[in-house]
Amino acid sequence: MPIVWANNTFTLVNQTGVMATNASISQSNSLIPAYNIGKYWTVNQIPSDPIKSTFSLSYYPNVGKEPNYDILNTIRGLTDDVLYSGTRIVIAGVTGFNCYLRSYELQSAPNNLVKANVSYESFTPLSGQVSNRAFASTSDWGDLTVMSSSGDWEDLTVMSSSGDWGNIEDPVLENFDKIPHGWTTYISSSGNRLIAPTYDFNYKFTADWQPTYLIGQKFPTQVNFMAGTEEMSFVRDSFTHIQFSGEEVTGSFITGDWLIELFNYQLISTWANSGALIFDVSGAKIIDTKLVVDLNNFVRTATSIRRHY
Amino acid sequence: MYSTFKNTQILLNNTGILCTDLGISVDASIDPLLYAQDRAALSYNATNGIGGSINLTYFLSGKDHLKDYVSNERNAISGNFGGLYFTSGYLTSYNLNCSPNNPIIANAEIKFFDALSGTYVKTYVRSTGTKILNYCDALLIDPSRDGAGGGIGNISGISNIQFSFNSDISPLYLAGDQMPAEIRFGEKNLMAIITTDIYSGDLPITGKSAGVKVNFTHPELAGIVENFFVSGILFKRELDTSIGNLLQTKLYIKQSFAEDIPSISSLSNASAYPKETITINGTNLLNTMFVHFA
Repeated sequence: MPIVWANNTFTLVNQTGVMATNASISQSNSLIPAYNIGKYWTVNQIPSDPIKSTFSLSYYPNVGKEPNYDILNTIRGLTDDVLYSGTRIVIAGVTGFNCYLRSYELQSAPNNLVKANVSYESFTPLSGQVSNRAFASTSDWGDLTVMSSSGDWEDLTVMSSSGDWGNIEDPVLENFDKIPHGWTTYISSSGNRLIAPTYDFNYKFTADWQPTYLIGQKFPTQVNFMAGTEEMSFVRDSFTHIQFSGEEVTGSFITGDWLIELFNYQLISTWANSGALIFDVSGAKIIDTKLVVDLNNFVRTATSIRRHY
Repeated sequence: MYSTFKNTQILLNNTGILCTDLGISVDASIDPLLYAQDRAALSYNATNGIGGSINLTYFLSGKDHLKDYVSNERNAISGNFGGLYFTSGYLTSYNLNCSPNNPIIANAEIKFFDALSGTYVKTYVRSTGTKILNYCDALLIDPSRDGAGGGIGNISGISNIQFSFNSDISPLYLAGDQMPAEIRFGEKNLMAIITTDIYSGDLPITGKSAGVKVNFTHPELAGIVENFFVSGILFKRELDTSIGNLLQTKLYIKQSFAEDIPSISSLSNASAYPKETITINGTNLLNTMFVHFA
């Protein structure tokens, strides 16, 4: 098998290309050594838990087409979670089915592009093999919904006709002006932006997925979304005192209804709002604060807020 | 010098088992001999015979010969632990916790009423690559007559089963003897606690007929290598959940008859008169307690 270089491969989340700078799949079983009394060396190595796969991506989010953000919003709005069966992720030709968003993280810092880290978990077998992308133009990326069997995903090089792949955008050909930037990240309240100077902003969502296994089955019969935690931290220049019982973020920390808006980079030049990643923080409570003084720097405070699903 | 777990070979009925935990306890029942107005005793009296118990936890790698004593508990078990041995043990409890994707591990207690004889001998034996059964290869069987799970409702959502067997045995000592003249076998029962996703309060005052069977297989071994089942009465339901956990129903099934089902193949005389001898041929008749003629 020839070597496959990163620039010849692809990363897809829910049939949408992602501008990944790093992507990885980690799959492991849970073998434990089986010792028995009266013998030296192990009898065998035996499974004690199911197989689990973790997909990790670091990428530049695109405000116009950010599949992970859409999935995040789907999960935050889940009611009957049993009906949710996860998403499909392809990294360099290896496909994970029924992948569940474990964490979603965004970092926005002054004068820097916003970067995102995301991880997914899958409890079912992976499919496919490391392969080159075999498509020269975006028209070769068809409609993946017509691909009914997992075998269609295994070797993308066999996909010769563009009809097999629908309208998937090639992330490499996307314009970078759709990436949110530190310049275009705002904390807004009732539509008023720049209401408080904020230097760094971090967002992290973590989800607790619980697979249920039955006797006689290696793979889960259902996966439930048990809980989610959303945590945001802001680096600012004013100190926030922590309250014993917590304090609503919309109280004294800042007034009004809060939104964090990460606009695309294009906004800086055209001031045209052509999309944004928006995070509502209503109901979050302040959980910790930290004041840092360094030589040759201004006094900064880092305040974290959290809310739970 | 201490030995380690590697140096103690375990044999039950001269057959090795893949034991992971072992505990042996031998007790002499001794009471202080107190005289009236005395608070202290200078001598002690034996109040019972010597007895002991063994607790074993072990992997199942095929047929579990100890499980046979669930139905034939009157047969004695011999054991040898690194040279220390007993000859008259009886199975008093046997447990399986069927948990998905976990190795099949049994836990058993054997009581014995003779001394632990012999001398400990350190051994050096290397493990072989024995295949260990796993619950991911188990098959749940619905033994109900309605084919729809019977009192359980539906066996397709079972995520855990705890099987337990308990047998009440007591030794009978004759005056002057240190060893029991015989072993009396009392009540024995089987119980299964089944965790499932059937949410119901259906439980009549008479209970409900229910049962479940688990066949153990291994992908590299042919056929069903072992099984365990309970078929009795559903007598308790529990519905519980807690933060971060599933809503689960626990069904309690007990079975007070734990013998291999007897069957009659032939009678020597089907129309005999009183006091005439009749020979009954069949299987599993050794533990017969009474016979009805009609």
